[in-house]
Amino acid sequence: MMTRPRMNAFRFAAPQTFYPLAGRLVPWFAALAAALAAAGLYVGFGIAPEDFQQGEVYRIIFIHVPSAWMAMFTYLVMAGYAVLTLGFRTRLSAMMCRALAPTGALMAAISLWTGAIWGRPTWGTYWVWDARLTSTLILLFLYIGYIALVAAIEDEQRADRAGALLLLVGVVNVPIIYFSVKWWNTLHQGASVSLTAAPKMAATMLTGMLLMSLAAWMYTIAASLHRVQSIILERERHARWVRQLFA
Amino acid sequence: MTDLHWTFIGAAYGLTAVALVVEIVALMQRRRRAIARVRREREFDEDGLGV
Repeated sequence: MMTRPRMNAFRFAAPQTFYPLAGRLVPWFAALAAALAAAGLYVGFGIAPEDFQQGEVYRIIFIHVPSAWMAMFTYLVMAGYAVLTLGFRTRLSAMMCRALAPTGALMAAISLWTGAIWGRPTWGTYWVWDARLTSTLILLFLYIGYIALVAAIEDEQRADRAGALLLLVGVVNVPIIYFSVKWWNTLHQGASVSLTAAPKMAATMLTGMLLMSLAAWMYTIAASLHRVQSIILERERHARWVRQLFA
Repeated sequence: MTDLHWTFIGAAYGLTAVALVVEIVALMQRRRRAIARVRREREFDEDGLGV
């Protein structure tokens, strides 16, 4: 009896098969990130008008909002991989958590410092202990805590499990960040973009922001895939297939 | 006021650009170190010096 060849969806869960796939994808995501960032900056600085209230300084939004979104979304993705790590003990999911963490932390840091720089001319202060700002700072600490925790435990599998637990405990912070502007009276403005309401900004401003968000998304994927390749090499360096790669 | 706004915009974008460059350089260096380690340990084992 003839059997039809079937695509094995789990094939790419193995580091050996994922490594070359990641290598092929990185240049594409990096190129997309550069092209989208160029388009986003062109729309943001060349086409979008000055804001009637804030003047020119609102243009910080084109990096502030995309980086804040990416910081939250990356943490959710890491929590998803943490579930796979704890539930199925898949090696690649733990490696993906480690690969995503530094870029997620960078995105959280960018959102904080661009927010502070934007806050000075608009609010008159770089920082207030407002719910949105404070919960985003906690997100940065969660990223740093995760990176420090997995680096501090020598046994890699134990480190992966401990890190995954921390990620799952910390994921409660993401909805707190998102809804903080609704739940509390904050100095930070409410959401400008919502899935359930019309945007509160001009179409060109929104276009620039969405293009930059896609660029941040593509950059995060490219950086994480590049980093996970290095992690695979570090962890699987004794495997025959890795040694044959650099024979 | 507008000049001051552009100073803030420059600071935000400049710091972000520097941070991204630092991350990209760190990514490259990590890859270089990982490959060098694979090669070094393979040669070490092939020389019969490894376990």
